[in-house]
Amino acid sequence: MLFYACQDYESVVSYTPVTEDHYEGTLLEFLSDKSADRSGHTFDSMLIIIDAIPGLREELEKEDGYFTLFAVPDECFERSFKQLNAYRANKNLGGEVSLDDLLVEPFTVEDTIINRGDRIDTLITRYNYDYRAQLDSLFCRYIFTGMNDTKKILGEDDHSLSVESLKNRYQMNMACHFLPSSGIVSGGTMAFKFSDMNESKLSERWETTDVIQHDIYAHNAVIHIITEQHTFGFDKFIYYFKNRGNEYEKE
Amino acid sequence: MFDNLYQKTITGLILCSVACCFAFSSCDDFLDVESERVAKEDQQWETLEDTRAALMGVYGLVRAALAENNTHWICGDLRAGDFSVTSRKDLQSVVDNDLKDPYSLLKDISNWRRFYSAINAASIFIEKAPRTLEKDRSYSEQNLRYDIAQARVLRAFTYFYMVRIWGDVPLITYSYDNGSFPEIARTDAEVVLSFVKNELKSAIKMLPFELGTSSNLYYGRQGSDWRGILLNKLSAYAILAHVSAWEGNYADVETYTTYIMDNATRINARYVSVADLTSTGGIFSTYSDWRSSRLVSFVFPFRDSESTQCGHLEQLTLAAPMVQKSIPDMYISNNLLHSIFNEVDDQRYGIDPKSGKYYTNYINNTESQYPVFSKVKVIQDGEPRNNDYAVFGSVILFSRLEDIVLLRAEALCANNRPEEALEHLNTIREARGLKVVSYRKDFENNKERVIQAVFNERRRELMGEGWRWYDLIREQKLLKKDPALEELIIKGGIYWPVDEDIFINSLISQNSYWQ
Repeated sequence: MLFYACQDYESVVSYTPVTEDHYEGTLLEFLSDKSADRSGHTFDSMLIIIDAIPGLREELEKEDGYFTLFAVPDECFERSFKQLNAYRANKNLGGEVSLDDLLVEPFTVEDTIINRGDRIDTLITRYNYDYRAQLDSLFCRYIFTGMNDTKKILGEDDHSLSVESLKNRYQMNMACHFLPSSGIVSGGTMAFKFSDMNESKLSERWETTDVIQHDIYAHNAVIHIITEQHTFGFDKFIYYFKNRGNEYEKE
Repeated sequence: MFDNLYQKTITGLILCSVACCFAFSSCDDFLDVESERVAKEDQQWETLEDTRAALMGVYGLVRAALAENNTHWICGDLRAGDFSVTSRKDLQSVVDNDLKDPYSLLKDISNWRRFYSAINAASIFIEKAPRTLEKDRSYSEQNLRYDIAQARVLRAFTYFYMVRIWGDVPLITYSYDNGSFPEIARTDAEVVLSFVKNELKSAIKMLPFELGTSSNLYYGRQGSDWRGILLNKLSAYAILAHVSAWEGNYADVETYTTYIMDNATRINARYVSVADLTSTGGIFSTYSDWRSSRLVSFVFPFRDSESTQCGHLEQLTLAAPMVQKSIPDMYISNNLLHSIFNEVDDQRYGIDPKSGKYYTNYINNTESQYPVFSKVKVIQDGEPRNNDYAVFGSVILFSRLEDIVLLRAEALCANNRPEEALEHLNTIREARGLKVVSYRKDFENNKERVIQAVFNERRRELMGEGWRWYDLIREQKLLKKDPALEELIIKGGIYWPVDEDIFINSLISQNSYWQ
């Protein structure tokens, strides 16, 4: 047993230790500022969504507002669309969908069932579609009000903090823990996990991704950057948008 | 008075020298006393227990040869395969095919000594076991025949495994247990393989489908107890089929794989579902209900205190929360996963229509920076009370029925019968939730595309079972589509270098590619 403790020598921890960072500007300026230290990532997709969803930019520019933002690199959006389109191709659900297709105004589809001699007359069913709201809901799971930096998370029980998203009160979890290193429990660098709780308190049901750069303090927000291996929307993206363009057919 | 003193001095000196004599000489005898604790050669091969111990010893040595430094996966899955490495530079060298980089891992893997330990033990067994027949009446002739057949299969298997790694290797078929230690040069890979095939063919005649019956026990157990643990007739056929495929002799492959499939029910080998393939008590667990489906495997039962850290894929691929390790040593990147599993209904890694989420059968933590490849995850006995003590009980699985079915499909393609090949490919596809494909509609009557599809299926199905590298080579030989790999094959770069320690034998030199 004595010797087993040493086994972790082999797995050298490769998380880059990141220091506290300050950014002179607002959250939105940070996202568009290519000169800021952002671990080499761009966040143009986030900006497009912020501009396309009514009221979101105003909300984030509020004078007295302070936010916590998990910045999602463009690669994550790219991956989500790639997976969505692969799914649609596989299931013969139509052509490729892009971000613009999801940012359309809400619309309604009427489905008419003509009377076939029953008592009921012709039946008209209305289906309301609002992809933009769904995208908004997914997107706001990365934004929270108030300051949730690592200091706060580490002050919580189990270094784990469940927070409601900016809109729709969807629960997400932020957790920090120190990795074991050189056989010493919690002797290594800190890992910061960001989880979609899937409406469950059981962590086994969560979908978890990694934060690669944390605690960038801007004027009105603290920003954490997520790994580019993440898929935007966790695993809900396909489920939400697979049927885009086939609204007339019932799901 | 002086006389007295003189006498005293002399007496003193004599006493002193005598004392010295005792002091310095007493140790000598220790060296001559033979230890009572060593089992000597002339005590061996007396009883049934001796042969059993010796045979299990051969199994153990073959297992060790494959398990040491995770050889089976590093040679089979990591090299030019689908896995990426997180931080270990020695593993990265294997991915990049820089096998002469100065890392102890590479040096140890390129040393074939461990394979020859197994070969030697098998040879000794074959030579000495008949002696027991005369001495122990409970050791039957049938038992001896089964034992020797297994030893021969194990030796043949070891040679085949070595040929895949090094190409030409010294062919030693005698134990040289007579004090001589001759230097033996390398034999052509073809000659070694023809020896392997002959050995397997004659062993097949001696081996039964099941070792022992309820009325005629084999080493105290009946046939069903040995399923998936010891080798049987179909195990030998499975190895033989793979040897023939490696040689490119697909007519034979077809014959052997057909035989295995036709007789699979006789050893109760069944197709295994994704759930039973990947669960902790599934086919990879020693005493699983699915063990009879393992055609060739080497077991590490936790129950018998044989589970280890090294010698399991888990050591390289698992990480938190399954074991106390922050990141895995190797993983399959998100983008590659999606290009390999390109059909969303795939139960191995696709989308579950019920929940709309990705299946976690093969992969956990998909959203994380390093997705965890968790197809094989037998921690301890598969049901650990906690995961602090990370020893693994998974078997080294060389062949199962799915492997044989896909090999048959490959052989049928190579023999110009792609439509029949598709039947077998579809067997696997259906079992994994994929739609049935047709030669005309999906492949436009193109044989090459069927071959590609068969290899793609092997890539998905046998991921993490030590096949990818060898499949790539057979695929290249059939399709010739990767010029870089073609060059490696021609130059002998598909083989591993031989460790320098081997060159004590002056007749052995380095593989030409690695000189």
